[in-house]
Parts: sequence; C-alpha cells; structure tokens
Amino acid sequence: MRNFPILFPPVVEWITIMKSKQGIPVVPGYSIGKVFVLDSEEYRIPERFIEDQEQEKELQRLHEAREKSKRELEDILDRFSQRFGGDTAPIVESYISILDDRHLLEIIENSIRENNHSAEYAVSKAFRDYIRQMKASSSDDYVSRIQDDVDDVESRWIRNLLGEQRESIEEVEERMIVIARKLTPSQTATLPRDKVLAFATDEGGRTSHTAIVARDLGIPAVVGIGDVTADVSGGDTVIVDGNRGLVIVNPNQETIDKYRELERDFQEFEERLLREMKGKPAETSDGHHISLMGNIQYPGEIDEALEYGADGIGLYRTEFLYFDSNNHHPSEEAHYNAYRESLQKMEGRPITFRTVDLGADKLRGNRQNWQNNPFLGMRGVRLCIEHSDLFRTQLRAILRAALEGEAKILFPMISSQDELKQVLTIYEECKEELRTDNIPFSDNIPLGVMVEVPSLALTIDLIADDVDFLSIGTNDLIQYAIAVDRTNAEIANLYKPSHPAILRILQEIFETGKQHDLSISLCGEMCSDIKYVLLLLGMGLEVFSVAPTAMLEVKKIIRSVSLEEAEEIAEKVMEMSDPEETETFLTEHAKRIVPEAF
Amino acid sequence: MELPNQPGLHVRPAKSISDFVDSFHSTITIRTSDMEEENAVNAESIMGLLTLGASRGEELILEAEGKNGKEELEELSDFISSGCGVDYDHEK
Repeated sequence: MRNFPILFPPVVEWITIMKSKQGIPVVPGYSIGKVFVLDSEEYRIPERFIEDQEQEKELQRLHEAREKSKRELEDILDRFSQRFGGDTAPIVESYISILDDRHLLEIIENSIRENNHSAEYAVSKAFRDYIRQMKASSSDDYVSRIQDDVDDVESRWIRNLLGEQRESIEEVEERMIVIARKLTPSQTATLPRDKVLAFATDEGGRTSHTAIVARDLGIPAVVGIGDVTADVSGGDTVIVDGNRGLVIVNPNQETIDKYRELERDFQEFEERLLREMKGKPAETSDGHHISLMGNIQYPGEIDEALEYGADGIGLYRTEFLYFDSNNHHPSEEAHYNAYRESLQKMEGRPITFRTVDLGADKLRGNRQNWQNNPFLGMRGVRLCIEHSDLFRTQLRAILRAALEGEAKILFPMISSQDELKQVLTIYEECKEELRTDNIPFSDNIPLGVMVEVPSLALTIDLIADDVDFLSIGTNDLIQYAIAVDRTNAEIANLYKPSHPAILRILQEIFETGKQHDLSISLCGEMCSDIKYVLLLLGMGLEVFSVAPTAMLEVKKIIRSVSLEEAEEIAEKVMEMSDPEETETFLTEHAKRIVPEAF
Repeated sequence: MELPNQPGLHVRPAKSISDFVDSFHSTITIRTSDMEEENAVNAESIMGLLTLGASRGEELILEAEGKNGKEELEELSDFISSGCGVDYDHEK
C-alpha cells in the first residue's frame, strides 16, 4: 500500500523504521524506554510479536474480536437507534463497515502472517498507518473529524482482543514512557509516579498541565509534538530528549548508545550541581539575599523542595484534593489534615496556600457546564464566590491549620477590587463562624492575590490596602495579555515572556507594589528560565518560587551574578521592543555568566 | 468528476460508496487528480476511501476494470454526483 523508506537492513523477520519527532522541550533530561500509550481507556498492548506457530491462533483471536465488536455495534444500533438524532445511526453503521473492510483486514492479516505481529499490534499499526496517510493528504480539520470515528473502532477492536487481560499502568512491572494525546489533571493524579520514566504528548505547551507535572516529578518531557500518538504503539521503544524536544521512535543501536552517553553526562552534571549548591544560600555575588521558594502540586513534593534548599513553599496548589474523580467535595477535615501535615514538615518555613483554582467542568466531573472559554470563565475565585460552601470549607481548614506553622493565603484569578472585597467578606465570615463555635484558628494570616489577570496588574493601587503580598502568575498573565492559549502547540511561538507588554506590566507591578510596601513574589515558569532570572533580578524581584527541580539551577544563576550587573541588564532590556532581540540579548548574557548550564 | 458533498468524503459518504460498489462485477478504483495511478484506492474499501481526503469540489478520477465496467462506472459516477445518497440537512 505504501513504501516505507528502509533506513537499515531488515533484522530477523521484521523491519523497524526509526523516526524522529520534534516537539517543545519542557523538562530537560534523557529517557530511553518502552512506551505506554495512555488514552481514555488506559490500555497497553502487551506484546508486539508472536512465534510462527502462534499465527493461526492469533488470526482466530483477531476474527473473534472483530465479530464481537460488530455485535456490540449492532446491539447499539438496535437498542439505541430510536434515541439518536438523525446522524448517529448511519455513523454507527459506518463503524460496522470499517470492521467489514476487506482491504483493512487483508493488511492486518498480512501483518500477522508475514511480520509475526500480535493481533493487537497489527490492528493498532494498521489504523495508525491509515491515519498517517490521511494526514498526508488532507487538512487537519478533515483528519480530526475522522480520527475520532476511526479511534472508536480501533479501540473497540483492541479492547475485545485484550478482553480479560486488559492491563492498566499500575500492573506494569517496569517503568515506562507515557505517551498520550494530552494528560488531564485527573489522569496524572492517578498515575503511579514511580512507574513513569518520561512524558511525551501531542498537545500542550510549556506551561500546560503535562509540563507542570513532569517538572514536579523531575522527569524529561516533550509536549506539543502534534502527532506522536499516531506513530507509536504500546511496547515500542522510544527515546525522549527533553533538552532538544525530540522523541525518537524505534531508535537504532547507534542512537541508543549515543543517548545513553548523553544521559550519563547529564546525570553527572545534575549531581555536580547538587553538590555545589546544596546548603548554600541564594545570594547574589554582591551579597543580596534572595528568597528561593518551591512550587508544588502535591504535599508529597515538600520533601523534595526542602532537600533542594527551599526557603518555603511559594505556591502550594490545593487542587489535588479535588482530583479524585469520586470525590467532588472533600470535607473540611480532609483539607485540614493535609494542610496541617504539610505545615508540620516545614519546621517554621512558610507555606503559601493558593485557594482552589479550578474550572466548573472539573468540579462537576461531567460536561453539564460546558464553557466555550474555560480560561476566561467560571473558575478560580469566581467559582469560589459562586459556590461559596466549597470556598468556606477550604478557608476554615486553612484558618485552623495555620496554628501549626507559618501559613499565608493566596487568592487566584482576582480581576477587580470588587471581586477581592467579596472574597474578603467571605473570609471574615468564616472567622466569625469559628469564633462563635470556639474553634481555635489563626487570626493574622498574611493574605495575597495572584497577579495574573491584566486588569488587576494595572490596578494594584486599588487593592494594595487590602492585601499583604502579591504573587505574579506569569503563566496566565502572559496568556491573557497576549491572547495566547498556553496549551495550544500551534501558536506556542507567540507566547513570549520577553514581549515588551509583559515587561512593562511587570515593571508596573514592581513599582506600584513597592510604593505600597507589598512583598512581591513570582511563581510562573518565567522565573525558572535562566535568561529571565537575570532580568527579574535586575527588575527588583526578591522572591522566586520555582519547581523543586529547577531550584538548584536558579540558585546557581543568582549566585553567579551581582545585583548591579543584573540591574544594568534589566535597564537595557526595558529599552528594547523586539522580543526576539530581548531573548537573544538575555541568552548571551546568561551564557556568559553561567556557561555550564548550556 | 467532482465531489459535491459538503464536509467532503468522510465516514458516511465513504460507507455509501463502498456499499454501492459491493454488488458490482467490475473493480473500480478512485483517486484524486494529484495522485499517481498506482496509488488509486479500491472503492470497496471504506478506509481506503478515507485516505483520499477528498474535500468538496475536489476532482476525483474513477477507473473500472472487468466485466460491466463501463455501465458500473457510470452508475457510480451518477451516484457520487448526486451526493452519495447522503442527506446533510440534519447535520449541525
């Protein structure tokens, strides 16, 4: 049907094609391993190849699963065709036709007979090859419409093949590289973290959920590849190059050897960095002390943050309590216990708890509240104000747990003075309730707002008297200010922290914040990026909150430069108007100051 | 000939075509005008038809081989020009 370029001579009975795919590198490092394709069904193809004598049995299995899939679809047609709208019945009939497609069947049977593929692998590969062909000859729009239909048939067939043997990642013995179209918060929450070597996804950007989780786990990750899921099947061997943003499918031995060496070198670099930086303070070369804090998603990461020398947790995300899809409303006790335990681990170092930042769809766990623009919709504090019992539960828990250590509270996505006032009213009411019921709580917790919505960034003076600190959330700030969806790989190149608008907004925040004596921290990805650390230092940032795995590198940069020099660099940058020029300028200085990091 | 279907040749029209040629004696292959002759797909294969990625108005080249080829080619051509028997009024 098509000719594969043969890159090296066939080995044994099969031909593998090495393919290199480019995406966005989000966590550095190298990983070589077997693929686990994570989809909504979470199935994995256990074996790709079979013995000669197993071929007949495999063909039989193939047909049995095909018949079963057909029966399932026919059953759906019979039972539900009354309920469906005009289109659905013909579509289900089309699925049945796909299963009856003789040419498709021939390809799959040949795969088994001639290449000794297992039935699952043969089916998966055949469909993936078809999709690839479609992509080569059609628009993305066309393919995405068809893909869902084709995926449905494929996964049904494979599900029936796997039958009782369906394996989920928990049962897998070895650590694997997880590949998916995208990773949702609930998927990553339930992934057994000790089983994952690296991530690679079709979708996503530098600050998408996958990137954040991978960073927190400290494993290599590449996102926004576009179509890696079309080119891999469970059991394939891949290399994930988190430094260059490459995923190499079915690497040949030469490539594997090269990467093993790179992996070794990289590990040595990390170990050296750890030895050098551990225990040293985050201080500029001319003695200015900088606070280096950790961003975490789960309380379990506190240990790691402390190990790398965090001065505190600058961003304690609380959504983890809601990721268990069975439990939409964790109790006050559940919140309280989590916070209390976390504070106790800190030995006096502060934790800044960000109140829950979820969208309505996540909360309900279903699609009833479909929003066209979830990022611009009912989320964050808006959701909390609208569904205040949820908010009160959390606030009460924090108020009570704060007696166990140094706690601060951070409100996300505030967009106006009015929104903040509503939040603070609810907060005061919670205190009143606890007071009335004689439940002990801490009455002087510092309060802050995430500065991520541009409308707030430009009106800090209006809320300055009501808060004690600010935390700049550059991930979303950049997204909102430039109108770039940070999870959209297609426009990833528009997402630039070096855009003059962003720099001016930051400058505005720093100036106004300082005028009103507010402590300012930054918790977005921007401050763990080497080149921007220099800039931010020079602009006056004194509290950096980064993922634990970035901590040592950021510390190294801070220690390698004087505040004076950083300020000079920042001054020059503020006069630039071309983001590319700014990036190049900053990169050059970063290379000069910390050459080993490149 | 040109494909009149709105969203192009996707699952439903592909199925219609493959069903239509099922009873044919001849073998009909279809390709888009920018494809090589040897890469034409067999009209019986719904998956093959989908790989054509034919969008509305795109030119299709049909070829028939074997018994009744001429008549069957015309029948199929008429069928496709009239929209492959698919009614899109209900589609959102």
